[in-house]
Amino acid sequence: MSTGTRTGTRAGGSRTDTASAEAALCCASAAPSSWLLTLVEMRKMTDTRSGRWVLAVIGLTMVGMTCLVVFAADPGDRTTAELFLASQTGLSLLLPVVAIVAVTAEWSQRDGLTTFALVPVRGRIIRAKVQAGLILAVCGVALSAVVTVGGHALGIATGNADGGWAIPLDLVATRVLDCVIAVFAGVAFGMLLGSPLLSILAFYAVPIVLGILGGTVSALDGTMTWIDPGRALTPLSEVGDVSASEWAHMATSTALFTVLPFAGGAWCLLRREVK
Amino acid sequence: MVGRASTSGRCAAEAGDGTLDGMITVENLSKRYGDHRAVDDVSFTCEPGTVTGFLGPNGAGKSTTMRMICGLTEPSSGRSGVLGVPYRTLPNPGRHVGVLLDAAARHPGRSGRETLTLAAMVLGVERSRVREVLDDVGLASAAHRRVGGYSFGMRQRLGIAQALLGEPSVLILDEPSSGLDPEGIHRMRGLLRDFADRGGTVLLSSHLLLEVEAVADRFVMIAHGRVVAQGVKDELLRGRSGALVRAEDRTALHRALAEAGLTVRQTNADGGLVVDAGPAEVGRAAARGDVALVELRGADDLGLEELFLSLTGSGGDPADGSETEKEAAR
Repeated sequence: MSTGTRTGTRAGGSRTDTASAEAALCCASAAPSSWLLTLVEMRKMTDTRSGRWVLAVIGLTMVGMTCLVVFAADPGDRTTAELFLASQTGLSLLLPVVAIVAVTAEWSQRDGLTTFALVPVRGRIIRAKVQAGLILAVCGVALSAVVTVGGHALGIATGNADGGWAIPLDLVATRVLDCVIAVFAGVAFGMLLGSPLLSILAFYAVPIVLGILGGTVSALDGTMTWIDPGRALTPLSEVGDVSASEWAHMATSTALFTVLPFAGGAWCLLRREVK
Repeated sequence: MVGRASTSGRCAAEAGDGTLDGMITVENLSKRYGDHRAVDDVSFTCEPGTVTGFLGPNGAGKSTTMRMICGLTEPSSGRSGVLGVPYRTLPNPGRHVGVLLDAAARHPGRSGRETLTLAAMVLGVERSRVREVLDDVGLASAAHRRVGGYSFGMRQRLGIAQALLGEPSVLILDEPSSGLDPEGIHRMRGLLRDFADRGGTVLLSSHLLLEVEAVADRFVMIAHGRVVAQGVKDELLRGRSGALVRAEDRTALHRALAEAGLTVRQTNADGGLVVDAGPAEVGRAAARGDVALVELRGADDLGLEELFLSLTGSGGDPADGSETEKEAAR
């Protein structure tokens, strides 16, 4: 902190004085904890009508898809693993939207004028939003496990059940990982593009465009297995082990479409003017 | 920092003089957008117990300056501080500084109470404060309604309630009275005056002098990004010797003044000219030029309003206007 010319004469020991001023302010009120900010961000994701709608749709698709598998799937496919996967259709689809809207509302609804005035260290808000999204994601997977168990019970009661009660743990793990990536990707696209509509469009257009490219240009097909997140992340939504090459595809695609946008988006958000 | 504001009682600790002494300090703050200088070398200080009116026409750079003070906009150069430190280094700014930058900037899907509850969580204040501030601004009965259904005046009240939530010692309010009804404006004046009288510091912007003249102790006038005048009312009006003169034949008056070597400082919308000279000199110049005057009086009669208009050029660019007038007179 350079000594200003106007006040320079009055503030001889500027460094210590500023330090003591800061110390006095610290005593007067501590910064909100990281956990508290996460709670606030979680509340912001769930306290608006649109936010509740999205969550309601996620919950309804869980029940709906589970019932669909129980009553309409072929015998042999009505296992808890299939129920578990089917129940998360809405979660996989809408979790990124929740994350995108949580970030872009700061600009589109101009919440940022309050958010960043109360918490000027913007990195803390990014962290809180990611953590809030991750908690929602884990809650979503846990809820789908509960719905799965309910679905299996319903299947047994109606004679539409295959296999035992247990949901394969490695499947739970890969589903959690998929949701974690979805939250990071959503936050990343939201930070990078700023507008909710643009971010959501881009988020869903990327795999579609890459899928079409891979499908029509055969020379690109091999490359797309490494790049296209729609394809590379598919093993996370399938029963069975994930092979080493599949992990490699996943890592590459996630680096390109989640890590990189996240870094760029965070850079933008930290510098962006809040209006 | 004597008489440190302590409406909250929490900031009573003596902090000593930092380099940014003053409750709000703005030093050579500038913001450029490409070639456009939105804020150009703005400096001022706000002291405890005072209400500072930050005046200027729309687009003069008031909001940009305030956003820079609050760490929302990165300045191109210069710096600012609140309570002696840069705003961004305040650990929990809302406990010291109540900020209202744009009442419209609120999620329409939340109720008024929910909006304040979220802020109360971040600030770490009791939930009962939410009820208190809603009562203070007269919004208690609408607290459960969604902000999307609020009128602009109600959003202003909500914004003021949020600014007061953390029991701050400094208030930074951008156009807080626009959209308020007369009763609301009166109520807010009382609230701000009371806040300052208890030792608080208020920085309050407006494009209407009349809105802040009744409550402000000091004025900072800004136009085209630059501070054109600042000080208490008497200081601002002092040294404004001059005369207001009006004639039927404006061209002839201009010519007569030019021949007498007098400078026209400002041309008012009604055709009146503000001249850098005493009424006697202006009268003699007019007599020499055979100009019949309609009005001639000393500038002592010029109020803050005319000073404001002449300096900030509301309703058109004054510099260009008077230049054109001078050209026409030649």
